Amino acid sequence: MIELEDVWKVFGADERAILREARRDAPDEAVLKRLRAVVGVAGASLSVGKGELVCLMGLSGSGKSTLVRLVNRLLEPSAGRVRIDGGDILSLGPKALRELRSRRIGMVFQSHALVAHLSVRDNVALPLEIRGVARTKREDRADELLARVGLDGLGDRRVGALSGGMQQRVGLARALAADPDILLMDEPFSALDPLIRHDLQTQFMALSRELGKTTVFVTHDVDEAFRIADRVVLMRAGRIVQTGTAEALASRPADDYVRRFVRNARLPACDAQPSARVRAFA
Amino acid sequence: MLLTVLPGPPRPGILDRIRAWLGGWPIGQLAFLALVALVGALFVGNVFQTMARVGILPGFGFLSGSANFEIGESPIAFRAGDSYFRAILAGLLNTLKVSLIGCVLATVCGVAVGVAGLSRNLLLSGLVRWFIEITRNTPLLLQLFFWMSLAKALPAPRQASALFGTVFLTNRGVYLPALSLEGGPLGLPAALALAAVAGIVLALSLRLAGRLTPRSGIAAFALPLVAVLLFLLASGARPAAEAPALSGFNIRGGLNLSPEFAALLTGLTVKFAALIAEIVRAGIQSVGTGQWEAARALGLHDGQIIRLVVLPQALRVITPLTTSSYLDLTKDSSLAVAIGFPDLVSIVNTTANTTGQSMEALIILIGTFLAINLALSALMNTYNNRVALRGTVR
Repeated sequence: MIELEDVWKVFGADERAILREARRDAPDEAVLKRLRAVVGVAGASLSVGKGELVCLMGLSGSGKSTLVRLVNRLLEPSAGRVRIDGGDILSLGPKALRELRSRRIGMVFQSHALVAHLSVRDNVALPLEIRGVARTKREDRADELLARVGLDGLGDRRVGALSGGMQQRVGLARALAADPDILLMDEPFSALDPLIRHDLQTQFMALSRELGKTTVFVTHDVDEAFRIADRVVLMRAGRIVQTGTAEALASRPADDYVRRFVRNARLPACDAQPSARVRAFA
Repeated sequence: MLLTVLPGPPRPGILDRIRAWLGGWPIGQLAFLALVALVGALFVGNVFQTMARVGILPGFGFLSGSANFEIGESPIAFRAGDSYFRAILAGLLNTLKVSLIGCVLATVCGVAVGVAGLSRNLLLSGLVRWFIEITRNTPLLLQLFFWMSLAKALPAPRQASALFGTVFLTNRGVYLPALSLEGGPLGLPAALALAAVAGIVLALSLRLAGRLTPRSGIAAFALPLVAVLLFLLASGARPAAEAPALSGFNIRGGLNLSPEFAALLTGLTVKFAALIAEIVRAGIQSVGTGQWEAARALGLHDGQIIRLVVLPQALRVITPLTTSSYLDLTKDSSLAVAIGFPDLVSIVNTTANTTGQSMEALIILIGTFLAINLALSALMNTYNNRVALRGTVR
């Protein structure tokens, strides 16, 4: 479904020079410093199956948010291949890329992503509006989605009048509006307080199971990743350190970094039965 | 369940309010008030005494007297011998004309320059940077002198060549092609004014009925305009584009802007376009990068992002700041006096010099500018309340 193959993203004035240095077996830190380089993602390969929910996890600055932005080309990869359903998205022209984003990939951000001057309903309907869907039709669809995420009847509110948790639900409804088959979630619940976060996770899991969207979910919260993910991808300094189920990471950590990360994590043992999804991908 | 509705705290009575204002030091407050009144009385008394000594009657009676000076240009007919009131009215109309056109042009240019400044094209954004810094950091008076000397340095009409075939830049002013309707019962300006009034009435009644939307608002203005134009065409009016052309020693026909008016308008437009460009840039940058990113992720292209997402949110920053630019532009149009354009200040000045009624002249000036600017800011505040946002978005 989504395939990333040896993908790199470096930031700096001279991307090619930085890339050449960073790709060597032992990159010279002094050279990278002189080039004012920031290596966001370093040679990551990952494939996400249809309907799978994969969590990208790591500390701040480990490259997980950068990596997720390479999937819909909000950031242009410096090197490597990105394929969706076998099709190379790096060769898409601007128009085809916009088409891909508006029809096939929904994205939810941590914050500052809703359009403040529009009502809740108009925010959710925005992706349909730019596609030219008729007003009544797109508003019906928006109301249906709002009901789905638990915001029944709040369509006429201004987004500014909603709490943080509610705004994130609006963001999710908007990402689902165009009925994409891929969902990218960039720390969607990180800025919320713990109780609301837990509620939203529960709801999101139910919704995601029902809709079966292929999902890449970025989080820095181990508990969150272990709770919702079919597979967890742990990143450090732009590299993927280990990929596997929560159980695999907890029982067979690849190195000390992973061990420290998962030491205090709660395994989702409280779910008496592993979900259908977990069974399918375990 | 018993529900009791409690009234809010009662509004304090007038005595309580006076007591609250007097505070803990009532004697001190009253003494200070008396002092202010005394100083004011001294000033006023002094003015009246002085006026009596030189034999000038205080009051506004002089307005009906005849003004013995000519006015270079005026939207209404004026010649020496008409009343001072008419002279001042001509000056006011000149001020309004240059301010209004200046505000419109400065906004159009300012928005264009501001958006261009955000371009990723380094040459374009660099040029904009230079333009803004030079214009913003030199005095407007100096710029007006520059434009005035430029206007005077243009070739004489006979040597002037036409830009785009119809625009003449000469030392006697700028000549533009004019559009007119001939042979109908109404001229073009009157027809446009009529359509505008009808449009305002329609829009207001739509608003009262709660049916005013952007689309119906545009229709409210477009329909009367089309109706009026159709009526004029039906009643035999023919549109004519009149291009200026050289005849003899001068250029005739078309629309003539005097060198002073052209210089003032250019100066105000250039200066305030730079200021508004900065405001527009700040407004657009105040909309976070997260908004751009999210809109891109939805598959919007840059034009849609600007139009649907960024500009509506930038307006809440832009509107109040632009309002104060409009007010400044209107006030700064009084620098016209330095380059000889007969605006309100320059005519009231002349009036004060010839009649000696300088106190009254000052009152007229202050009152008029206050009235213009308060009306303008009331209008802009109404608009701002409509685009302002309530609540916060994370």
